[in-house]
Formats: sequence, C-alpha cells, structure tokens
Amino acid sequence: MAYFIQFEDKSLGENTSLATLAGVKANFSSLTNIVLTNHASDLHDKYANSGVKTVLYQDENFTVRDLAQTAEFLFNLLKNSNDTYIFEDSKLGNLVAARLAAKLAVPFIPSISNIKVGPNSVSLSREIDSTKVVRLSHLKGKGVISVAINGVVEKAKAEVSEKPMTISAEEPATYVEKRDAGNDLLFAKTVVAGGKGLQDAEGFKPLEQLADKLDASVGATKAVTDVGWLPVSRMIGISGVSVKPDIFYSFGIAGAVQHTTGMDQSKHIIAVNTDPTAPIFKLADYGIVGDANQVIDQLINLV
Amino acid sequence: MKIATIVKSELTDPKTYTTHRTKVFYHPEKLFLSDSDKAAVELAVKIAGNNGQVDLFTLEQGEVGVRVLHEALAMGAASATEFVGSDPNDPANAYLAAEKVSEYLKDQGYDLILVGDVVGSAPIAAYLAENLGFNLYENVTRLSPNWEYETELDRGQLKGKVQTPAVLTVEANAIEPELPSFPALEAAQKQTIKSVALNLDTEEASEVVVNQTQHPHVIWNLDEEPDAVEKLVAALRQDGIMK
Repeated sequence: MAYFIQFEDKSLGENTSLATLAGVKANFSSLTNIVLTNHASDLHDKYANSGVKTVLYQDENFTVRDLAQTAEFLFNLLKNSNDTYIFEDSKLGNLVAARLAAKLAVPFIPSISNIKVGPNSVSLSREIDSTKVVRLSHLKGKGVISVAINGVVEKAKAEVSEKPMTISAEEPATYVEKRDAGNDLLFAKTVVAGGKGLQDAEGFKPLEQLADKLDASVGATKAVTDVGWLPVSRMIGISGVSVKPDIFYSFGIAGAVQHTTGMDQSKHIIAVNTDPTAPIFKLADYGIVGDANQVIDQLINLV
Repeated sequence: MKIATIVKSELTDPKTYTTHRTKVFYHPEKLFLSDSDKAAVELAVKIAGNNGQVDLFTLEQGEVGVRVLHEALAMGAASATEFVGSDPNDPANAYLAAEKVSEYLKDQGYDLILVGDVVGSAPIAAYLAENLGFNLYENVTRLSPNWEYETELDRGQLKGKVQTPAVLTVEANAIEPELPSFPALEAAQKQTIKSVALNLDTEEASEVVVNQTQHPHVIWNLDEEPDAVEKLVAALRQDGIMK
C-alpha cells in the first residue's frame, strides 16, 4: 500500500502536478491520494477524474506556510500504518517529506526517478547528477520518498471523499511569490514546444490538446512568438525563458542555438522535425524525422 | 553562541564516477567542500563573532572528509571532527547516521546547527532537528542579524524569524564566503581532526550502479517506418519516461 501526499493551498502556487500522480499510480497498484487543502469543495471534480482514490483533508486554516504543523498532522494520520509515503520531488514536497520521515524515524529517499515494486521491497533509483551512475536503494518497510516521475493523465473515475482536519490558525512564516511565479512554463515537469514547423497558429491547437493529456506546459521558439501564434511569455531560449523539465517534446523546431540554450538542460528530449540534419536531433534521446503535425495527432490518440 | 556546522563535498565533476560496462569507479580526488557548506561555515563564523565558537563535523569518509574539514577550518572554525562509518550521500541509512550524530551532539550545548544544502546528499537536517528537539529551517537563502530568514520554494519564499535552538540548511547564495588567507590555510592543514566511529548497521545501505537507462539517441524516419510514433511511445514507456 502506498500514499501519495499533496497540498492544495489556494493562496500559494506550490501545488502538485497530476502527471506526477499518474506516474506514481503506474508503479503502485494500491495507491491512495491524500490531499491537504483549504478549499476541498473546488477539488472534487479534479480528483474524481484522476483514476486514484482520493481523500481530501479540509480545514480553512490549513496552509503550507506552517511546515511543522503540516508534518505533525501527517504523522498523526499515518503513524500506525506500515506503508510507503510518496511526495513530489519539489522543494515543498521535500521539506514536508523530510519532516515526516524524521517524526516517523524511517528512511527518506528523495529525488527518485525510477521505482520497481517487488514482493518484499521497493527498489528506488536516484540519478547522480550528470554522471552515468544511479544510487539504488531498497525500501524494505515503512519509508518516505519523493519522486520525479511523470505519467499520462488518464480521465478515469475515482472515489473522492472529504474529511475534516484540525489546524490552528497560526502562521509562523509569510509567503512571498516570485515575480515570474505565474508562468507555468518555468515550473512544468513536461514541456511540449512548437516551432514554425507547425505551419500556423492552428497547428498549436493539437499541441495544446497533447499538453493537456501529458499535464504539460506549452512553449515555443522566438519565431513563433514573433508572429503572435503564442504570447511572448511562452518563448524558450536566449531571448525568453530557460526551462529544465523532466521531459521536453520539441515539434517542428530545427534547434538553433538561440532556442536550445533555453532547453538543453532538460532531462529527456524528444524531437520531431522533417529535416534529418536539424541540430535538435543531436540533443534528442528519441526523435522522429517527419511531419510534426502528423506525429502530434498520432500521439494524442496513443497516450 | 556555540554553533556546529556539518560539512560535505559536492559532486560538480561528472567524472567523479566513471563506468566500464557494469563496473563503477569512484574518484574521490575530484570532490571538494560544497558551495552551500562554504556559505554555512561563513554564516556560522559571522554569527559566532569573537565570543562564539564554530565546530565542524563531517560524515564524509577518508581523504574527502579530511579535505573538506581542512577547507572549512581555514574559514575560521575552531575544531573538526569526522564521523567514521557512514556514507553522507546514502539516503537509505541517513536516519541511522543522524541518530548517532544527534546522540553525540546533544549534550554539547549547541544553539545552532548549520548544514549546507547539497543536491544529491542524504538529508539529515530534519532527523537532527527532531532528535535534538530543535526548530528546523530549510533552504535558507538569507539570514539577517536579527534572525529573519528566507526559505526558498519553487515559486516563492517563506519568510519568518528563527527561534533557537535550531537546525538550518543553507543555500549557496545565502552569503558570499571570503577566501581564506594563506596563513589560515597553512594553519588548517596542521590542525588535528578528531575521529568518532558511528558503528552503523549497514544492512540498509544503498549501492551505486551503472545507469541502465542511458540517453539512447534513437531516431526513426516516419516515411520509412509508418509505426514510428507507436515505437516512440513504446520506448518512452519502457524507459520509464512515460508511465
């Protein structure tokens, strides 16, 4: 049994992605999604289609500004079970996960990129920076992990229930949003980006559909934002934003250095372009030489 | 004020680990004191001032442990201790190591424990805070003289006031460390390092193995292989990139 633990604080932008929930679900057959929130009534529909049984713990005073109280609530909730507790590999996820692990006196294994669930243990791989090695740990009993894995969001029905939690109204810290906090592209785990190879602004509609399926954010090259097919805030590259997602899908982008400077640190790059000599293929883990629009349509049907 | 700073190295050179087929080779000569630990030591020395004391500890082993302690001693710390018998990068038994370290530190009167935030190292700060009953402040990017701190989150910052005794994890940009002088470096090299055995149960230890899901660089041609998209999706699923 495993629990995926998330926070939905309406006053903060530090929420978990559905793609991570989908990725965790693909690994654990018995999974419960626990959501600590201050606006449960807004969340029923979102999780009713997540395919994972979800329990929303509601208190209007809840805030992740109080990390200690959040961890204390989780400790009291989970102390008598003997399971794996999973958080997203984000700064907030890791802060609460570490506190919970310390309270439970169990291992905390952060930044896991691959999970194998065996009969007696869970094998966890963590990439060691830019090396060619991974650290392999085996969780034999109760433990806390944080994961950087992504799945495809399936629209499957799931049971959603709501329970009260009691949180005091104290706030030991204030939260100040970063200037660019509103730009999803900067924080997305998956980015789907399009270039002039998508032909016209209409070509971005299927890309947005694909992004919806992958819980991804849509990016573009400067050439695309210059002609107004997408707003400038979506521009990736030397004149725009730099992104470092887990997965970067590049459609109809040749890969000029002005663009790749903003995405070449992505963990996995998948490229589609009609030109087999396009520089983007040098960066790609996987690529398809072919029409990007055609590939996007096929991907929408396949994932 | 009495401050303990737990220092470690940082993997900045990908050749710290090299591979040949399934074998992994470790090159500790490429590891040095991490930038965030330099910030932690600098912050500790500034807070301690003339009347306080900064003691260094490390869970690094062998030559790496000695190197990071010498580097940190040159920045103005008073003493250095290495904990022997643990891997500072192994998250699987970090809680056991933290338990032993907490036992060692608990009656020594520390007001503050500073730890650098190093990507890839095992997280021990929360365990130390829990075991010692200290407050915990992580990802600290700023600490003012009147104890106001800022914690870095993905899209914003938490701001509040540190209540001591406390454990703080410090980001590299929290303070700009001063370069140690040559006499300080020379004196640090001569300073004695104390060793304390942790005697950990290593049954739960993790292992470093070759990454079998290396970047494959496979390119299909849609004209020649009409099922290229199916092959792409299958490959992404097999590699765990798409679940």
